[in-house]
Amino acid sequence: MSVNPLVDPLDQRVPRVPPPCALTIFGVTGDLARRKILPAIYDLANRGLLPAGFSLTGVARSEWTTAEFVGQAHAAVASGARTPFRQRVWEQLSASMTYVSGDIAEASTYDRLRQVLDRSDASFGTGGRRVFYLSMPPATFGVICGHLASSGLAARGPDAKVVIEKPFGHDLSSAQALDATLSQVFDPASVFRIDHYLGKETVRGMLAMRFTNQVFEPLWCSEHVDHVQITMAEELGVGSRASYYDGIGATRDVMQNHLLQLLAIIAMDKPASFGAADLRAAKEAALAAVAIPGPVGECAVRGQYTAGWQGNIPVRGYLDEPGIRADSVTDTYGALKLAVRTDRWRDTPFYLRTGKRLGRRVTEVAIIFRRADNQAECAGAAQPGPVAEFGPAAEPVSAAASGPATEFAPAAESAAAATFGAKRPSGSPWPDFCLQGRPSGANALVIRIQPDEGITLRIGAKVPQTDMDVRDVTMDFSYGHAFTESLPDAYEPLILDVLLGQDPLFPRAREVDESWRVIDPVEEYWASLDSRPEPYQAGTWGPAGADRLLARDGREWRRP
Amino acid sequence: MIIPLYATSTAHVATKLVELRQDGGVAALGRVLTLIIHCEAGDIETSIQAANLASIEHPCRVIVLTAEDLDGPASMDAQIRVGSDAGASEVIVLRLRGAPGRHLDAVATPLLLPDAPVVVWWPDVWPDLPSQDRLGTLASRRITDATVAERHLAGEAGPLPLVAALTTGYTPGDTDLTWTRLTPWRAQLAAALEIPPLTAVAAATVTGPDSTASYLMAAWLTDRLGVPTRRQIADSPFLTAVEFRLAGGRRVLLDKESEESQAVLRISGQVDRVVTLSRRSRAEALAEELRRLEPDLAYGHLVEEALPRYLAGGPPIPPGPEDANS
Repeated sequence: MSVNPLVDPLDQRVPRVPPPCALTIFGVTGDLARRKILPAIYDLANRGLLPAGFSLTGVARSEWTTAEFVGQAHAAVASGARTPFRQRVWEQLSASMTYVSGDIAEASTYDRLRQVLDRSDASFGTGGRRVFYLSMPPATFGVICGHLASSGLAARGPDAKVVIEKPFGHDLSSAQALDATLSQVFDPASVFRIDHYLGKETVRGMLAMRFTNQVFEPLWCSEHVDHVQITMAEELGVGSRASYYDGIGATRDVMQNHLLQLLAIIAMDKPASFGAADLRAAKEAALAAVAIPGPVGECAVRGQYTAGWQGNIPVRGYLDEPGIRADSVTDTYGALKLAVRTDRWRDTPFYLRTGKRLGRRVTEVAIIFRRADNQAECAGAAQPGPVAEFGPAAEPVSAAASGPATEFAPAAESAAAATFGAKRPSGSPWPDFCLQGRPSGANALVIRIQPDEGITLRIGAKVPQTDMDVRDVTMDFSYGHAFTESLPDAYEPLILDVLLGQDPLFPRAREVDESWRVIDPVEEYWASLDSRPEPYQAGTWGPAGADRLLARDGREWRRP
Repeated sequence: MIIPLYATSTAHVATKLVELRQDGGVAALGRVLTLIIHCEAGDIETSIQAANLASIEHPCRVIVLTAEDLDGPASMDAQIRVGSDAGASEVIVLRLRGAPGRHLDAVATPLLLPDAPVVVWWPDVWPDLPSQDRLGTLASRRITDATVAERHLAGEAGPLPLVAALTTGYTPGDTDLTWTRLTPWRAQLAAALEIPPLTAVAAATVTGPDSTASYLMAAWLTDRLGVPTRRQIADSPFLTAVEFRLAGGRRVLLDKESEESQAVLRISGQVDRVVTLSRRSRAEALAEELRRLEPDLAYGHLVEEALPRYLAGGPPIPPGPEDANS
């Protein structure tokens, strides 16, 4: 393609506006389209980032007219958009909207869609470029793609793109089958897998934190990092997703994609560049090195919530939720211990957990550093007395007795040792500092993904007016304080990337395959058991087995 | 909350700020920059309002300085605004009389945030050489606004003296909000050239008032496209259109009629397309300006090279090697 003379790499102000295209959303009456996709499209329009030459077509089974669809979309935008409502922008956007009612299994639906898109090329100048957003269950993708191909609506090439949401299959073989289905109709580079939990801003924020801060990267290895905890906790129960969720469970629903993506970004080596291909290669290499370090039964825990209290609200157990089979063994909680078989992480386990009806809604990564060897809990050996008694004090004292030339120095030294235990041979087991409260004593770097995106660094600080008592304190950085109050929702930049045809951070098939390779043995193991998932009371932090998983290694979960 | 401090000192203001933080946690800790606003001609309230809105994206400490009666007795009145009177910022208004007004840098220094970058904004008229100005030397970024200055200096010599001031006084780190307001235009124009069939541009026309904005746009197009660009004067307070004549005679017209938030993209032989092209508020322009705190190299090239060449009316330079195949 020729170079656009008005695009200057040095000129960083000018945002790229995508070329003309017609966007078609299958399943436009669904919850996701209403809550996320339609408001994000309006926000893009409002910011002047939709193409000149754009149309929006909704496809769903409901027998709506276009006017009804526009009315529904208006309500969705009014309640969900981030940017202020501007009547003229809305009028312009809504004028480009058409609704096609029909069954996705019938060819006639696609005939009508084709008429709409042809009209859109003629009246909005969308130029034959098409984006199909499948906001539908994955089981329907094969049918839709088949019809898109046979009706001639989509042909392999840069002018036809498809967007799908997780789940990308439910195991390795189904993920590969899904990829095969999509690849028959679309170029691999035209398949956009949206993982909205990991919006571009979040990923870029993590990349910037890791690779621009010299204080972190040198410590980012087993020598300094004891272990890593990755948590995604939900307060919600299964709610209206029962029919999808039952039989899938937390591990497939969340661990396979969100948590392993987070793990990849934390564990990967520095990519050769931050361009799409290099970044993807670095993530794929990290995922390929992930292994379950031992028998699956000792590295994986599943749980299922029972009735309890979510804060001040009583909630029912999973098996009592509407639409859930009474004997369901679906995991609403999953925890995994994983190893990353690279030099960098040879002695550092990664603990992942996710669940519904946990203590509060939070997604975070906690890097727990190794403890310094010169500290201990206040009640134990850290008392000044024992240190003086068994520590290095004895030697200087005897030295003083044997040589008149060293009258003062050793005596002073032993006095110092008696007070603080500070003078000691290196590697001595005797602590200099004692830890107050419920001690962790380990530095931790917590990367908060949501809510309140930011970073907390846990450090030890001396408690005033004690000898050498140390307590954990935190330093806090919040994006919301330092930058904007209104970060674009993940969907807005994601959709913009699709329209621009640039996909720096969307997972490709290989990443999806690698993550199923990790998860499949766990699911197979659980499926082979006669036992039920371990119960945990709603509103707590999961089953006791998950605590034992860490306790076996002498560690414990952080309370997020 | 507005706390007035009469006949006060910077030391007292600084102490008061610490007190406010400790008492109520009023001021958040995550401020990323200090924004100094030096008002001479205009109403300070509209500038403070713009800064407050911009601070929602970039929490900052805002220091507003006004100086009058420089030869009179020295005094300083101050206000500290926090909470709902200050957006996501904390605003310190300092009204100086007498000699301290000649030493604004010394007045501002004790109130700058530690380490954080300093930006100076002259909302109306600005000193001859912003980077040599006493306040300007404190800052890594200096923001002027020729479009507002035009109104204050209206009726004299047209926009040319201001355009000349932008070119002669330039130091990396300087920018002008007139340029910032052109960003949405430039994004749409760049996108328009990517709509097939792709054809080289043979000539361009910028239609709008006889203003700094139209000079900047015309100079930018001449420089980037390497083709003659005409400025066509229209009786309108804002730019109204940019037109490209393509090789082969087709036209691409980005036409912003009277509409507040939209424009029409007209390409010969194609259906008209409506695009969002909003007129930007000062707050929006300021927020964009604060998004990048390093010198804007593209703007530097424009005012140091492209604009003087455009003003000299010299022949447009031929396309560079990287543009040759477009």
